[in-house]
Amino acid sequence: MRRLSKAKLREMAATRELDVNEDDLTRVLPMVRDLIDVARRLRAAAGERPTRQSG
Amino acid sequence: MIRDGSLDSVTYVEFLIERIQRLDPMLRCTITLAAEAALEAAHTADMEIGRGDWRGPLHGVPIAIKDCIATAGLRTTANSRLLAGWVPYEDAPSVSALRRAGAIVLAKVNLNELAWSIPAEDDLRAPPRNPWRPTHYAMGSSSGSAVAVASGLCPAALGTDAGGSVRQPAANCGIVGVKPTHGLVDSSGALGPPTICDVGPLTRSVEDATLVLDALTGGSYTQSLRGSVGHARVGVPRSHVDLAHPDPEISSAFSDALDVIQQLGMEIVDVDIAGLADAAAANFIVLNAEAYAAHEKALRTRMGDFGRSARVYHLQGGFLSAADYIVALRVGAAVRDRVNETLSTVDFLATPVVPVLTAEAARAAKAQPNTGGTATFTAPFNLTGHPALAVPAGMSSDGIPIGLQLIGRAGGEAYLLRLAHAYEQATPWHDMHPPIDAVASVSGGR
Repeated sequence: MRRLSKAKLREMAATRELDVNEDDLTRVLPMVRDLIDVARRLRAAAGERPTRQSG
Repeated sequence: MIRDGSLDSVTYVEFLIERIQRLDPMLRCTITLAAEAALEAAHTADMEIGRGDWRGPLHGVPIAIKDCIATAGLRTTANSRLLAGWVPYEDAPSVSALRRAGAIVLAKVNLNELAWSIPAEDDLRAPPRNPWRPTHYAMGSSSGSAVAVASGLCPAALGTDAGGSVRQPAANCGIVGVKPTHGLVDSSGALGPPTICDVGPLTRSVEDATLVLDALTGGSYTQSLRGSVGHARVGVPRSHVDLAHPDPEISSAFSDALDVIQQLGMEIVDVDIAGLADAAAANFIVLNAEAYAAHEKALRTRMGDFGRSARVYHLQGGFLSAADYIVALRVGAAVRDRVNETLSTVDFLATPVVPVLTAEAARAAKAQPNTGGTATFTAPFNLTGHPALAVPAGMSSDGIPIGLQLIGRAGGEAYLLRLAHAYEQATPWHDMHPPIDAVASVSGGR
């Protein structure tokens, strides 16, 4: 899966009505990438196990 | 002492006010000193006790409150410019419970901004210094609570713990910190992610922690200390501990602590709990999502009032999906089941509290905060909701305290505190005090 780009993050921030300046975008980008990687890993691991929803 | 009249509350409060005024310029653990209100409450307590109207062991006892817990009529800033002028109309229930027990709110104490950020010198209030080594910051986020208690500025403090924020500063400052079973203490009115955050006490001893817990819950944990832990079995999630590569001095102190537990007649067994590292990571998904949700409006309208670190820490959760959040909660539920299963074969779990010795080392690890980092031992039990505490367990060669984490069954605080008390009484660590008066006199209090 493609890594989140700064341009995409800027677009997502705008969608959420967050006025994030360039310095903050630069600082938060690796944190968000890391967070999304963790979330993806957890989702992949959870997908390997049956859940109540999937029966 | 207050009950029998050998010490009156006013004298005690006056002593602590003078001590705070002398030491806090160097320690930086106080945000608001409630001197006038505390003295007034102490006068009232002395009168009540004098006429035989004693409310219990906390009557007339001054305590400090982490400044993200609401206090009626007393500024509650969360160390953030966002809340610099906020004076709540009512107490958080945890504060109300302590006041009903006769405790006196002496001070609101420092924390990482909004309890979720890396501390910095340009915070609303600069970060507290570790009284054992004032060249280091104290670990957070309940750093001010831990520093105040360890430095003898108050006998007890309240903190909040959503990933280790009571247990880590307690361990780092050589005191006791308790994260109760999730929901045991009413933690509303305290800023923090509600699914994983609990208000808990920081104290000099396990017995003092039980006194505060009794007041917070209406329980009788203090009485439970009198019982025996018998031949309890203590499980060590060895592979999880080893994977975190703790500092060698922490590993050594942990090994010594397990020896003491064995000498007390208990059995140490290795246990394997799959997913503890995932639970630490999932806890940060929940924390970030809930922190963003709590502050979304302020992030849209007052971004510039967040500190530089708090701003990005609170932003990141805005880019998670609902599915990410739900999966993190499911990870928590699955690991909770596994921890419960393990705790049906052993009575307690034991781990180090934190794999690094100093706040600065923790800060470096926080460059990747969302994989658990320095909260790898503490955060899993926020997500699973089990009670966990830190008790002093050693001292590094550089004079930084090291803690032991003990984890119990959900709702099993009485038995857990009994084990911690037995361990504490068998070791010398709780009797050690930071050389803070000597340091302050040399530095002129700065």
